[in-house]
Amino acid sequence: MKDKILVLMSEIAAENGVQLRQDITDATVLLDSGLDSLGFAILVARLEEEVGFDPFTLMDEPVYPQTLGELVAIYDRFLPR
Amino acid sequence: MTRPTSRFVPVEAEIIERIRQWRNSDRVRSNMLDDTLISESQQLAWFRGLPLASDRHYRVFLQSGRPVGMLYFAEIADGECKWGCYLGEESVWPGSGLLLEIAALDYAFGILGVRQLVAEVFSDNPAPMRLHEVFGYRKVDERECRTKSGVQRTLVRFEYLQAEWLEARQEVLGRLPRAIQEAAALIQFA
Repeated sequence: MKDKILVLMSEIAAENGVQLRQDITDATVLLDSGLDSLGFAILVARLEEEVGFDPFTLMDEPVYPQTLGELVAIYDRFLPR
Repeated sequence: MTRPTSRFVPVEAEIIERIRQWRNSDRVRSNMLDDTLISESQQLAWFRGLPLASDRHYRVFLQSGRPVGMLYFAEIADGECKWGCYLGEESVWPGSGLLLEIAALDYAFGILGVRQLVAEVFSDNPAPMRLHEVFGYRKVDERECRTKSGVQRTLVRFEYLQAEWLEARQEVLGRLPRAIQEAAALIQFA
């Protein structure tokens, strides 16, 4: 899941002419990653096309990610078993 | 749970310390013309002055009931105003910045009733510049300025007319991801 997210982030950044940080790790704060708000909205939409769900619509209580690691964990949590 | 609600509410005393912490964070402060640290007493004076200030409106952004940022309007006069915003919290629904853009235009033209909205952004802050362009702001000017702490920077001015937003709103929202369109329908002002 993490690899898929990173690949999509790179694609979306390239399509939109924005520069992603080179040193993105699990601890990178998403707001500091270089991808902007539109980029993240597109990322969630593209992930929904690829994995078949938007985890933010499946939560009973809203839990939003601060870091890349938290974003990956949210998607992992809702992956079909 | 579907999409988050976005409510923009007046500033209450209970939240002014959190706003001060947001405002003093490096991420927020570095993109402000007044880039100095705000003291507790300055914050209290600012809050006490809000009811008297007819030329400024500040609203707290509540995302599904949780305070996450600020939306504000200044220099409201002669049918025009400037606006700004920030996300104080870092854990927010993906796309929250777009909701702030939509809320700013709807609030300025629908609640304040100004004819023109002005946004000023530092040229080295690409995210809001790009969002302004996506929404159809006109870039009208660039000027050199100094922040309150004395840093020289370039300020880019964008403008948007009320008539332009009324005509373009549906088309602009239609170009955004579906989740944003659905969340935009849940924006409320108090």
